Amino acid sequence: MTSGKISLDLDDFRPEPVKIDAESKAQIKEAADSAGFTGRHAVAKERLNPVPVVPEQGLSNEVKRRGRKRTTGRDVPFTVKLRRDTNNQIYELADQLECGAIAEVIEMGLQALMEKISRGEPIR
Amino acid sequence: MPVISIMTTKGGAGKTTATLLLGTGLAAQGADVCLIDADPNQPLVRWAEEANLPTNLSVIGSVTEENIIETIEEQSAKVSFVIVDLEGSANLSSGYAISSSDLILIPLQASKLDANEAAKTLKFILRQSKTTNKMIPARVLWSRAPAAYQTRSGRDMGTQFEEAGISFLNTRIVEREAFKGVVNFGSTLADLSHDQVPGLDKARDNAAGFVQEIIEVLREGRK
Repeated sequence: MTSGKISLDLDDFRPEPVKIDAESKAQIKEAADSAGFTGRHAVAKERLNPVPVVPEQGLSNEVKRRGRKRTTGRDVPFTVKLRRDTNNQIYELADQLECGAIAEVIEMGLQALMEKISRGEPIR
Repeated sequence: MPVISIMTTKGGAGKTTATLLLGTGLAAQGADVCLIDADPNQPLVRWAEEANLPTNLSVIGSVTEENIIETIEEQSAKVSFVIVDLEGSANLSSGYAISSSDLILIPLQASKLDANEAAKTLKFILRQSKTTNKMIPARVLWSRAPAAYQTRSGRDMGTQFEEAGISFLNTRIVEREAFKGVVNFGSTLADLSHDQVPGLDKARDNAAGFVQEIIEVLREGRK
């Protein structure tokens, strides 16, 4: 049992430069490629400098006015085939009532219809 | 001067353990040693960051196919032993490293998967030897072997390799807690204590035998 306490005389092992020329390097690469030794180390991507986010407001005392955005709640498409005169009538009413959207005409029309029904008036 | 590359295309075969045992063992004998970590996972660098490194042992990380030749050239001019720990895959860095090497060690566990990869690695070494017109000595190293016996599959595998003219090291690196302790405690076998790991004496004997045999093989190669 040596318990790991060996004594090797390593004086004959001295630093000695190894040299591989460019031609050998190219040959090695070619041989490696053709043997399927094609693995390459991932190259670290250049890290982008983080840019601090500048708030829209708060850097100066000036209060920036937010753009007004009306939400109508109308987000369901409604496609329907109409007779030409019905279609024209809807657009004419929209102009006449100065509606912001065609949907308003339909909404007002439905409202009127519901009121008519609630009053018990004949529909057709 | 010797450059020793430790490679196999199989991961987890015991390359880093063999590198650490050999590197720290040679440094303990007073030789200047450089370990080159060419594995992208940088296991040696992580070990070196926490370990109490002997002054005559250095570890160089971030080595890729772009700079491996230059690193080997530079270090071989500075230290007595350069040991290259390669990635467990079929990569170009291995091609460059083995062509600069005086000895290649191929760690092998007794499994068919390991044997297939070791055979692939040996074929590649032979091909590179022909390309560069330089015979590169290679030895297969039984690694993570059971302490008491050689398994039947291990024996069969060994016979097949030997019949193909491939040489094995006589020393087998045995699966030991102490070898894991080198990494776990960021230490060397010499610095580990008996209360940290069991079977330390046997592990030190095993590692010493390994280092001694490598020196014999290197001297044989010079003749």
